[in-house]
Amino acid sequence: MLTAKNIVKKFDNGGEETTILKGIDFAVKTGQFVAMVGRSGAGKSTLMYILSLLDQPTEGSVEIDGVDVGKLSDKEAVDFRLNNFGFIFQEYALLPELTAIENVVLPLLMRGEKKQAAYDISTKILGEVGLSTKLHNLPSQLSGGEQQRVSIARAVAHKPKIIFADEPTANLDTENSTEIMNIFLRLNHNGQTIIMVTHELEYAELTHRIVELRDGLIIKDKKFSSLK
Amino acid sequence: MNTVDIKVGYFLAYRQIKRSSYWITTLIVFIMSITFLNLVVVSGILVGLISASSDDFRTRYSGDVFVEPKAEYKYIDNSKYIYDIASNLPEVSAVSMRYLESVELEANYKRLVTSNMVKDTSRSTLTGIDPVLEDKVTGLSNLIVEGEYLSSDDTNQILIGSSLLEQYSDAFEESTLENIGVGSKIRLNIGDISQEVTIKGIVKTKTGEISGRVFMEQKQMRNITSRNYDQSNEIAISLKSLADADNIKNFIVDSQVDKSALVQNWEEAQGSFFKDLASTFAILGNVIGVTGLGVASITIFIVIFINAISRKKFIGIMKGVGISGGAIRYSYIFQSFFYASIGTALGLLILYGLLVPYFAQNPINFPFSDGILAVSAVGTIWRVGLLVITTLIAGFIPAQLIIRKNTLDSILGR
Repeated sequence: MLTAKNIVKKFDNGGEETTILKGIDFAVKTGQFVAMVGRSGAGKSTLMYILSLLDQPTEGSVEIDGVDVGKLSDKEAVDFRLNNFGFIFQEYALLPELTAIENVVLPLLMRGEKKQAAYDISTKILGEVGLSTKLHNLPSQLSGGEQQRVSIARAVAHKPKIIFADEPTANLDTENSTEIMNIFLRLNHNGQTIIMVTHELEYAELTHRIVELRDGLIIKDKKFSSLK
Repeated sequence: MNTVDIKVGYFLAYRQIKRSSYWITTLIVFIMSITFLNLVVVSGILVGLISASSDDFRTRYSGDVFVEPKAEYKYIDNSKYIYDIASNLPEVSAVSMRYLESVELEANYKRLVTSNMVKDTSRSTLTGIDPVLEDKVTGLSNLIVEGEYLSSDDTNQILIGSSLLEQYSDAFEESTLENIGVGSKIRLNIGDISQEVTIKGIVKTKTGEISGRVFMEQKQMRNITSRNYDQSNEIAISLKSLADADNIKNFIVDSQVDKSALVQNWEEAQGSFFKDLASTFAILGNVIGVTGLGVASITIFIVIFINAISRKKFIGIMKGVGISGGAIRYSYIFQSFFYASIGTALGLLILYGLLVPYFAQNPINFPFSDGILAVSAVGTIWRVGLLVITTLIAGFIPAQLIIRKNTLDSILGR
């Protein structure tokens, strides 16, 4: 489904070139739940940004379902993300002036969904993540865990091929983190492909596969036959 | 044009405005209103100043069509013929013939006891009128501020313009008559002829052609100056409403009267002075207005730019989750349109609900006219359009600058 070949990423760091990713080959099959782990600066977030088309590699290519996404224009990349990806960020990344349901509705409208249908889908999904009583709350009126659940609802509402989650539990307490991981596991159980960056090993171990990065290289790729 | 972009842009803009700070929204709308008023009112007052003066000239002096001798003639030789032609036209409401003669006014001559004392004199134009017809054309009787209007059988009685009298003139005006009022006797010195008359009324208006003259019943004036009835100096013709001055002017000209007579519509009669002044003031008003427009557009630019900069991360997130740049751009354009349209609507309300009626009731007291606020519907619509378009551009540019930034850089706040 997703194949990355020889991914190199270099940054110009005040005249000095720094290589963050040093030639990564990586593939994800449909329905896999992959955790990318590693120390800070290992390159896991950079790799995720490249896989999700938020960044361009200096060298190498990414193919998703046979499409070389590196050749897409900016506008095509935005459309591709809209139609194929769902994003969950560490700091929730909800739009503060939109209510919970409006945050979920927005990408659906962008996909051309009718307004009523978009609201119906969003209501259902928010209900599934336990927020049916807080549909019309602004993000500022929600706890961190609730905001992250809205963020998940927004990511999955349009049934993306892949969900990218960047440290989704980093700002949450154990109870909320467990709840978020349970939602991910439920989604994956229903066939959702998920690529998650995390530094919390106990959550990484709940997935199919742990890919460990160090100094811009994959040093370990541990696969489990099924979810724990 | 992508309709999804427009719908999503509206969805975002509506909620951003609805949930933004009430005070900031009010402030921006207030700035837009003030800018709109600046665009309309400054030029409106400047133009209104001239248009009021121009209107006064027409209604108080020239009428709608004005006839005077050509430069090489002293009189309109065939005055009665012109009068008859004009009077018989159905579009004409009244015609007044005037006879003019340069005159020296001499007052307080009875107190002169020695020959070396300075005479109290002033120069003016003695104007012979038919009081009834003149009143129909110019409403001269309405301008009487003291005493009474002339009647057709008055003899040795005059109306005097207020600017010839010391008590109505500026302190520095030298050629005015002292201590003269209604009932005072003055001498009219026309060449070798001297005639003592009594002041029956004082005429006051800001139209200099009237306030600087003395008026006498035309028969006596013609007797004094040995003037034929057929030799007038001015013929003022007022028309019924909706009648076209140019049509009447052309009809009179086509009646073979123009050997000695210069027939003009009221605008031509004013010469280029008012027109030039109005153009100059309009340009001045527009310069001030455009400066205000520039300030407003910079204000909107800064407001939208700060808004967009402070939301850079969220703009990045929107792009990250697949919201197109077009939709985000539209959201800012809609916001700018909201500020501009609400601001101008409020400005229009203030303009037509408050300022125009206020200035109509309380004209600004300028030396040569009572200034009103001259605003035309076309001019107002044009300015509304100008303000809205300028605001949209001022809102679009900063949004575009932020949207073009790299999505990941925006999300990560780089």
